[in-house]
Amino acid sequence: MRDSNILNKSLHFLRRYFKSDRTLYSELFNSITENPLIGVYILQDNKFKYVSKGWCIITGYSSEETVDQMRTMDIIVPSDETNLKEYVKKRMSGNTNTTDNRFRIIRKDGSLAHVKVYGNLIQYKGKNAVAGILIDITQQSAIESNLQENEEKYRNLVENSLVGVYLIQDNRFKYANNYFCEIFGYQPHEIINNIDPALLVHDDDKSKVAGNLEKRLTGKASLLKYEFKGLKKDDSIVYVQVLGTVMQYKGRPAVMGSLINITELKETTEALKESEHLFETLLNLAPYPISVTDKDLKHIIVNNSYCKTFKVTADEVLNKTPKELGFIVKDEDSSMIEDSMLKNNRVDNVETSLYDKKGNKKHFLYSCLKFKYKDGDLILNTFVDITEQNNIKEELSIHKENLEILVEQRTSELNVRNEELKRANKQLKDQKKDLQKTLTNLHTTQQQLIQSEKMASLGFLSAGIAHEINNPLNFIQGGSLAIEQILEESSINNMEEAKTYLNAINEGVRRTSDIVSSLNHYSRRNDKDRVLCQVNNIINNCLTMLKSKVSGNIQIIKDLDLSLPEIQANEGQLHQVLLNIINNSLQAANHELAEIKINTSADNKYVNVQVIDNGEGIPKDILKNVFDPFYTTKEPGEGTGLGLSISYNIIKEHKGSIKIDSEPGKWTKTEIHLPIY
Amino acid sequence: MMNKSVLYVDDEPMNLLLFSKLIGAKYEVITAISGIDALEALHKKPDIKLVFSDLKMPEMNGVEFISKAKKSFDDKLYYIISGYELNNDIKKAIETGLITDYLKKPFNLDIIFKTIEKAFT
Repeated sequence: MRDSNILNKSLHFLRRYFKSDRTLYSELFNSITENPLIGVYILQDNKFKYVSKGWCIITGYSSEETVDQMRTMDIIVPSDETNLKEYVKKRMSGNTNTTDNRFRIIRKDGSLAHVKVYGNLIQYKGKNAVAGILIDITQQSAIESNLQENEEKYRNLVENSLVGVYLIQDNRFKYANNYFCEIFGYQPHEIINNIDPALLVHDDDKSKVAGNLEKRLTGKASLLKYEFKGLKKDDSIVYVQVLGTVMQYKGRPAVMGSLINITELKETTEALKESEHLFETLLNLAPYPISVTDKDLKHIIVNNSYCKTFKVTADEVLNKTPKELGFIVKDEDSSMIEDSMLKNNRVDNVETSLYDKKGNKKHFLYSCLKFKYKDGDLILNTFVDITEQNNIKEELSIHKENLEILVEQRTSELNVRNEELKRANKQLKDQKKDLQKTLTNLHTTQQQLIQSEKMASLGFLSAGIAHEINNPLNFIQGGSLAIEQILEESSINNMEEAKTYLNAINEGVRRTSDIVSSLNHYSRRNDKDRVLCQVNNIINNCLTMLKSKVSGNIQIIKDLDLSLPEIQANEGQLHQVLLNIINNSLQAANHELAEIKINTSADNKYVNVQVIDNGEGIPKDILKNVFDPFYTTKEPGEGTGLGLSISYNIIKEHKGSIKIDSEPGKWTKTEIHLPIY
Repeated sequence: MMNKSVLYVDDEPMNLLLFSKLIGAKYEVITAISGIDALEALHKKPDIKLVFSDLKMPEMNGVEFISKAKKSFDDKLYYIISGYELNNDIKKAIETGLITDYLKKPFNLDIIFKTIEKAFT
């Protein structure tokens, strides 16, 4: 291009040289004719009339060999002769715009050279001549032929490229590749040299595109890259990015550019933007602090909650580590977190305390997760602020402790109360027991008193009665004895018979007297005094009193130790005991073979009495109760339930013992041991 | 038969009659219907060796009578013979030596005779 400019200028000078003031331009002309790169020549009558130094260098012929000797045909490659003639003809006819001025010449040494020729019609020595310039473009041609090959290659590439390529000149597409046409949904012929490029731009971006086009064409900007909203043939929208540059096309400015369809990219970007927006919204909506840090723990992303919780702004924390921000984590917590990260690449809900930069302690449930992003590892950190919960928990724990203490206090108070109540209850129970016992004792005492009173009355009466009965008995017995004497003195015949009846009288008197005596002894129970008593006698007395109760079938077997020592005792009371025991046996043994054995014996310390009957016996469960007051198995009115109880007390008062044994259905044995004083 | 007199005191005439009849065959029996009567009899008959007295008598009972009699007539043996069972008063009287023994009514002739014989031998 530059070459052609220079040539044009040179031609201009040449023209001037020949037309105008020779002296003015002669030096300039010389400088051109002397230029070894430019060959200047003048042709007249098909012969070279002048050649410059440069011409000689390019062709290899000297000026002498050429001027008036050689014709153009002598050096031009024969196949280019026609083209040359055509060119000369055009130039001769005054057409200066011809560009087909490349020819090949054969140098003197036989080598081929590519030249460009610029010739003009001049008057030389009064005749028409052609003055011209010849430039060696052999090297350039070689390059151009390479370029041509390359262009072929690139054209293919461009034609089939996945980038739209276009060339605009004079507000029309001079070129558009297939892909470009495809992008806008047109056939190539519909676009090239046909439609206004503005038709492919959406109204929204028309002014922008026109402006950019203008800028390039006017040289305000050579290379521009921008996006616009395109309009396809079917009126649908296509987003494109265009990279355009201004260039010379066919000698005039044109805009050439490449264009890619970024609709998908745009959509993806839009989606990405939306997604990013969503992500950001969600991140900031999250009520928990969330941060993303790189592997050096430098903050990359933080959400609003993070800023609010740690009282920082996003700008403050970005690219800084928690440590740099003045956050302090307990050493054991952080080493534990590090361990977990090394092992599992994650940490789940670790309770940790953290001091923010203002020194406020906060409790968190901390979780983090390492993840790959691009080439490196990032860490997603989440914090659940449990400071409040912890405080509440602590408060609750204090409350709980207080409650526990309170409960403990109350419990111990209650326990004390309970103990007191228990004691009081026990006292009451004991008192009740005592009262019951006292009541029983009172009852017993009352019954005993009644019994004693009865006995006293009986004793008082029986003493008097004894006297009153014994006197008449004395009359009877005395009378009977007197009669016996009289009868004996009278010597009657049937004295024996009379004696029988007198004996009957005497026997009657004796028995009556015995009963009175027994009654008397028995009623002496209230006597305070202990007297010497013969237990055998007491037994006999009892049997006398019970005679009426001894029915015919009951055998009473007495085995009394006649050497039995007398003992100090309350005779009446012993009477009562033995009468009671013998009476019980009589009541128990009421069958055909009834038998009551009464034994007395003595050892060093005791007088022993055994009363054994073969009656119905006493069941085990009743046996243990027989000495209890008011315990009776007899029908109401038959027994008071006091007999054995009183007997037991009497024997105890005598420092003796009483024991009842029984084999139910077989026998009952009562043993009494009374100490000998 | 001298010095073998026995005094029997009882407020019941029938007893006096029967005692006289039953004992009188072997010994001289003097009877008195009261303590006062008996004291008189003791004054009158110094050869009375044994005195049997009833216990329950009007005006002066047996023990009272014997207490009085013993003061004047200490050389005699005194016995109570009664329809009462042996009681503490009698026991005391025996223990103090006021009376020698106690006999029971109705009369046991064997015991009475043994007692008299024992006293006279």
